[in-house]
Amino acid sequence: MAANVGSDKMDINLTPLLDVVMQLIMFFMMCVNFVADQVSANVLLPTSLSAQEIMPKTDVDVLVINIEIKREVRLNPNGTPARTPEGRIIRDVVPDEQGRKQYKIIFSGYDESKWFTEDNEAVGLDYAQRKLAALAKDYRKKESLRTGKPSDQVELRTVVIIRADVEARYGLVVQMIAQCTKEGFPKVEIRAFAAQ
Amino acid sequence: MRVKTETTSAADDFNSTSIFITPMLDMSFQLLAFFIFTYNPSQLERQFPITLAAGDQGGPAEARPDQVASPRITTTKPAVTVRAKAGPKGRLASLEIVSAGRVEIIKPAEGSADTPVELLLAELEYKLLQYKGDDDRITLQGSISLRWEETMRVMDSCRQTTQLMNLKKEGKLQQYFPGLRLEGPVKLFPKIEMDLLRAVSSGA
Repeated sequence: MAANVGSDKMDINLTPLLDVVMQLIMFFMMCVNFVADQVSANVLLPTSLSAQEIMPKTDVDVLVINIEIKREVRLNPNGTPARTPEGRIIRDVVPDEQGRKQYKIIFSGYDESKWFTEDNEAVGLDYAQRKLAALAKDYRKKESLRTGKPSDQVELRTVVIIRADVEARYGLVVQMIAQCTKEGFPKVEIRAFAAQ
Repeated sequence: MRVKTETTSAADDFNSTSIFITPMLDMSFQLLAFFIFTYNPSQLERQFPITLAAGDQGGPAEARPDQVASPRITTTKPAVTVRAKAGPKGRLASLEIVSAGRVEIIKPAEGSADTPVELLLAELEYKLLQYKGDDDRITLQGSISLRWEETMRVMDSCRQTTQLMNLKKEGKLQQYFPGLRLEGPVKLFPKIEMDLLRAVSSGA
């Protein structure tokens, strides 16, 4: 009789369900925070078949240089952003009045130059040169604190990562890399999207 | 008797210390829905390693008294140089392979200016297959106005025979390159040097 009274009460055990849901929430939260804040999301990288996995760099500083082209999200007639068949949002290049592409150089995701075109590239390159010189000085100081050597005798270990838009000119990218090597940055990496 | 049992069970419920899981589960589902809808994974990024060359002459890097840390500049003369020339709108117009003083030019055939870039690159890979020797380095020089996307494609082709494999997949390999047998993608030049001092003139 007593056993019957107990079995009258039907109850679903919600605890394991809650556990699973919490796991899922955790997963999605981690994914949200996974995007590094140094990159500019507006840069459309080229795809490369032979690019390699990125090795995580834990012991060296990383300097990200984004070379961005002015782009605007293409809209469908109904106002929603147009997408490629793969589901990526399409961004069209926005040229200036003379039809030239407009560039911007962004350091570490927030320190950025003015918009410039290929006719006055010096605007961006001068800015980049000053910025790189200042950063190289800072990194040298940091490195001298770490090694104990005077700051004009240490070798930089900072890895420079170049993220250039597909529409960028080869000349601009190469001049940026040349500036980095001139300031003594030992390693330059180019970023590309993995090919499908 | 019956009445008494009911009252005891009610008292039991009142005294039980179980946590109400249902509202917590509701909230969790709300959170879950929020994160699922805002989930927007960025496309996977990869790195493309390059080395930096000072110029096609090579030779010892010049001493720079103003600079303590000198960039890693290779000091031996590279065996093969690839020049990528840009056409209108920064598209790839023609390619040159320079090796031991010889220059081989890859450009669209006369009268067919709209040769796809893929075919130019496939021919580059075909030629590089014959250059493949002990040297694992290749030097790249490009026109200033070349689009970055095309530059990456040239570098891809210098590294392995991707375009030839694509042609094989489409069954067109024998049409363009009769007699060429490819089992799988062949690795060509793993190290790519970018020439930072020299740019080549544009034009086909």
